[in-house]
Amino acid sequence: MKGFRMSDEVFRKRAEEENGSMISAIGLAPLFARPKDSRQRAVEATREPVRLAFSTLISYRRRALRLSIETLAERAKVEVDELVQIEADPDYVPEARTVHQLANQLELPIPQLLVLSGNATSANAELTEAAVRFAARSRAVEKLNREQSDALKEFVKVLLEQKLETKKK
Amino acid sequence: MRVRRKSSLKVPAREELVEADLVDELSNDDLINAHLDWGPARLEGLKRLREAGRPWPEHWHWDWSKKADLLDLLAYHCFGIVHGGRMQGLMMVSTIAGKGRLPGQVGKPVLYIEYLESAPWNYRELAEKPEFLGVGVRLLEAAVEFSGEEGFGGRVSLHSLSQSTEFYRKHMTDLGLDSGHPQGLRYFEMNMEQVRTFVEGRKP
Repeated sequence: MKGFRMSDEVFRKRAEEENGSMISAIGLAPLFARPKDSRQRAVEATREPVRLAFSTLISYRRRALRLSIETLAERAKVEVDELVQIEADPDYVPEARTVHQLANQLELPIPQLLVLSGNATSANAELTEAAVRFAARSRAVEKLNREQSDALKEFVKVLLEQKLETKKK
Repeated sequence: MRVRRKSSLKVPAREELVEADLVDELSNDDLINAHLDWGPARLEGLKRLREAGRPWPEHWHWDWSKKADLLDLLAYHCFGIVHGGRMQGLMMVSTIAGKGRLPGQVGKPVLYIEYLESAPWNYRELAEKPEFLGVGVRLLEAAVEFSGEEGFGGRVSLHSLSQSTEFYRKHMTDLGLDSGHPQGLRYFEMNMEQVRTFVEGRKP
């Protein structure tokens, strides 16, 4: 182990084991350099998959409870437009009040939902990991059911009609 | 930037290694240039992930150029692997942040890896086919080597992003989620026995 260096043979073996997997590590330095900034960066680091998890969770839970968007919006006293945006746009951050009302109607825990929605932060890595796993699984294999498929066809039909009308003008 | 010594990387599905330089003494400009070079490939990969409905890597937003202020501190050292005129991976280590936590080396000095990342074209999450294999191995080897030079016996430690734990678990001890870390990431440490196993190619 002279100089702690590996032979070419060992390196080949280790490189094959690594095989292009992610190797990223992030440490503590920003903490004692600029505490506030590092906290913000920590939040930014996990934002995207967690937001995906939040929007997907709202959509799935609503469907599991057999609620239409209109019905849930009415019961939670949330605008229909906003609920559509929550489910469709992972970058959208609803007001904490909206999250509270949705949590109550969907029978979900408020603190966790506040974290997932971007209204609160948490050092709970398990919650983040679970959110990332959920977002990955749900988005990767999502298949349209018949109702969704019919709605999609209807929407596409309207789009096509709109396009024709535009042409006529 | 200074060439510390010659190194190499592996091309997928080929036996021969390509020559690379292990560099250190990186300047702010070196980090900024690397970041600018990595940007387009990273964005292209993220776009592909989004279209596939897959989560983004946790470190997609990392900007090495913003970590340049740490380079002025004596306790921080930045290393890189260069091939074909391009930075293939970057690592920043600290000689003061690490203290051993593993039984047998509790409280002993450990080289702490503050940041480690490979270029976006070298890992599967962003690139369909990685250009080079072994960037992580080469950087970890450099960390172990530097730890030896500093009198730390090759001992190293780090906090791994959740998507990278599989790699580190092969070579280091997983001490679990660390509540002392701002993101609560898993803490890994490598003792002298694991260093020998890693460098000599023995099975753990």
